[in-house]
Amino acid sequence: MYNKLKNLTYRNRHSIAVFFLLNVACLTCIFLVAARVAYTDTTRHTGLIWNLFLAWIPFILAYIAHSISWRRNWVYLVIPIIAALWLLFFPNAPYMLTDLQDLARSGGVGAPLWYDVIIVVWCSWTGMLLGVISLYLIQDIILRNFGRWAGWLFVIGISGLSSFGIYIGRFVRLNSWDILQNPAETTMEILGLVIDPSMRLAAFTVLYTFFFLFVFVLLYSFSHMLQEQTLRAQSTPEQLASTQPTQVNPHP
Amino acid sequence: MFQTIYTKLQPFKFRLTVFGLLCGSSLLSVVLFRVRTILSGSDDYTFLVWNLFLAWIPLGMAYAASSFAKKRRYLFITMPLAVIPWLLFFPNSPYILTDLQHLSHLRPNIPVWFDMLLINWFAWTGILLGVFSLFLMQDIVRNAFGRIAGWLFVITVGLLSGLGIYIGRFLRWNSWDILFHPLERLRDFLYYATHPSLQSIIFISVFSSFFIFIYITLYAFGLLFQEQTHHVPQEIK
Repeated sequence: MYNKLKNLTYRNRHSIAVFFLLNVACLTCIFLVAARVAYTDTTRHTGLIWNLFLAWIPFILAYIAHSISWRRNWVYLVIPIIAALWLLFFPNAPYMLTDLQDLARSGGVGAPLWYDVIIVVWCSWTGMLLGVISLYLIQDIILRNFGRWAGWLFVIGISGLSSFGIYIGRFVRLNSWDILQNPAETTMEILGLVIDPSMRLAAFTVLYTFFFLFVFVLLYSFSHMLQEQTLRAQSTPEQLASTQPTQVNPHP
Repeated sequence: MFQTIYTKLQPFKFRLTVFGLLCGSSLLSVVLFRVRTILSGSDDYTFLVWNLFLAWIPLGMAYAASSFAKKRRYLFITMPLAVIPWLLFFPNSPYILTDLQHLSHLRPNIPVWFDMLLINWFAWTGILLGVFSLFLMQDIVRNAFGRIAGWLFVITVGLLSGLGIYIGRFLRWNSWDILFHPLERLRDFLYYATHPSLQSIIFISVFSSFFIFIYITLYAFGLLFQEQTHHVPQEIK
């Protein structure tokens, strides 16, 4: 029993590490905001904590979906429900990027400006990482079931949708759960935006889509680079891992 | 011909992708900056381009260092020559984050969301350039002195980079000042180091821990891929 648990922990040690690190990051954000509140007696930036909480929802949904996706018969039943919920809440994670505009509104009032900068940076990066990792987990399910191309098309589609979602959250001030509470009104409002898009909507969506895609693809390749490195090191242990180009069997 | 190039490059596929993406994103951020200049008719944020250029220098040095590391014979002569300038220039990469403070000045011509995206793009490129170059250096240290030394190196560099950002932001020194006024700078530095202000302590600890957090999280995220793609059952005895 004990050994089994030990093996399980050991095998999943990196996912546990990622989970743990993100928790630590959130605690740091909360601590930084709390220190600011205690020091200045204003409640500025407390909204960030709420946004961070919202950014955790898609991450947890993706985690659940990914861990049950190994059972074939569950994939077609439970996953679509979780995926739909996930899609609804996903834009909350990259939405954290636009919280930087708190700086433009009230940066440096009461506390030094650099402190506000670091609060907002910690929160927005944590939110983005939560988003990237949850998207990766969902992409992995799709890769396994429908192939490589489907996975990447999915990522591109989600990036576009999520920037549209950020726009809706930032400028129309709708929340993820509005579509569940009063579906008809919300749908009409969104349809109105889609049918007659403003210049701002187009520019905003395109630019944020590119930014999110850049971050996702870069973190993806960076991570595979680490894997490449270990593959090279394993194939010729006596040579220097980073420097000697060696023949690697692409299908080990 | 193409076949040999392909097989040579195959094991470096993702490293080349990272490099290409960093080039692409730098180019795109400069294009965005140009668009902003044309639209608004002012030249705000010119410093971002200069800071991004400075952020590329440590990556170039890290590449040079990892190609020096191939020749194991002269390692003890070439390494300090590569590592010390790298360490001097390294804080320029995470430094771009602090440029976000310029958002607090109101710029009437351009909407805030555009400026936010512009600075974010520069800042993310800068941080990721830093993470990538630190990764290359960590690899050299690990190959020479082992795993634990590699991680100690990362933590030390993370702490030093917080210090470097503070020096750049508040004392307004540049990386190359140490070459031009070595004695003066060293004396001033010793003075500030022996009389630290509360601000400097908080600033350095928060920025350093941020950079170390980002680095470790990206590293763990990378190993997560490995865990899932290989499924090598590694049992503990």
